[in-house]
Amino acid sequence: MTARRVRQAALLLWALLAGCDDGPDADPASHPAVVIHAVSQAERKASQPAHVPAPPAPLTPENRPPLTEMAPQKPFTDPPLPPELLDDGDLIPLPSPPRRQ
Amino acid sequence: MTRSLFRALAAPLALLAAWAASSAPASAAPCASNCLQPGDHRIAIWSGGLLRSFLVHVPESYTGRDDVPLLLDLHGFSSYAADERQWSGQLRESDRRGFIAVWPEGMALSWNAYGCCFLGNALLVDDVAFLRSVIVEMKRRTHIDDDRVYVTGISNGGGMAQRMACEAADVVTAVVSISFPLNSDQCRPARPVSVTAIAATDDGTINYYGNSPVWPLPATLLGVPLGIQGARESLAAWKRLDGCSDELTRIQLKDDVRVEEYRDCRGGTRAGLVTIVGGTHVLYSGYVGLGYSGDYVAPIDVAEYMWTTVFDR
Repeated sequence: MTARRVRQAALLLWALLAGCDDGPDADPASHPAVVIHAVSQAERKASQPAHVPAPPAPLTPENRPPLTEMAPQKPFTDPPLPPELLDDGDLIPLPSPPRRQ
Repeated sequence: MTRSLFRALAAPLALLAAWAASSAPASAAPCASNCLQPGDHRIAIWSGGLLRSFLVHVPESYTGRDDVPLLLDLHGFSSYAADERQWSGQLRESDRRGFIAVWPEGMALSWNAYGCCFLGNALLVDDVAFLRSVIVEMKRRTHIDDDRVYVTGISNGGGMAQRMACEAADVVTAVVSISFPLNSDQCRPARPVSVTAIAATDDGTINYYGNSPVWPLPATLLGVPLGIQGARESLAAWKRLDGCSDELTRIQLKDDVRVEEYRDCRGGTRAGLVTIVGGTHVLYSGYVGLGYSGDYVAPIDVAEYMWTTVFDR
């Protein structure tokens, strides 16, 4: 009974979140974050008195960077892997990491 | 935007948290001191102002005279203690090996564990304090071997197990994390602690090679990183934390299971990574749950594996 109530609470929670933001749209032309990022950069640079570089070209579905590059990164940087972890030794090699789209 | 989102959600989330807390059973402790009998129990305690609970299985072999190992087995996000008890295989291993198994209940189906998961991380729930209390309570009620207190968990529970290795190494001997890396650069264990991670290369939830926060979430939320460290970087981190030598033992357990382990570490600890090539996020065979229909068969039984090669070695 408790488990069912807790599950229902989880579904309610997801419903709340989904109502606020249901994630990126499959249509590349409808990514508002691309616009937000571009405006933020332009405004900050416009307030500087000199050496203002030309504003970036407007982002279009054709020239926008991949979403994975726009996404924030993990806020700490790992040191390089030690050599032994880059070597499969006698093990069957791992599959390649998925390509960043 | 994130701040306004949380303001908008604050009231319903607080209500949800209060409801979840109040829904926990308020049963009285089954015993006060060294008197827990073989069988299954649910114990409720107060921790951080919240009523928390945990399931306990005491195997038939427990006599109350000899010290036995204690295992905390932590459920994943959107799951709960009874679900973990049903699927993790630790209930069976408890009866087989004679340790006492505990399945703590996360706050609102989540743990506050280095980047995951909502609601626990957003409310900054002190789950380390809660799990420490669970260990204390179990030591009070049963004869636990101080040198054999283990923590495991899957997904968000695996992250919480990693966090316990960082922040409760004074009371935890070894940790096995399933499908969740260390994911922090602030880990400062009080003493060397053995940590093994089990990770699958086709895990679409917690990427084996690491990933960024889900777009458009920020890099940190309330001070908690949302990005995920790669499994191999996590192993490298534990190599550094445990002061291991460069000697790496490699074992091809099966065609799709490879083990890499540092066995020459401070205090006799080990740091290991079990890689399941292919696989999925939930590595319990036959698991039925959100997004899982029960048709996945893991190449190894993770519960049996961690006892034979990590805890009972």
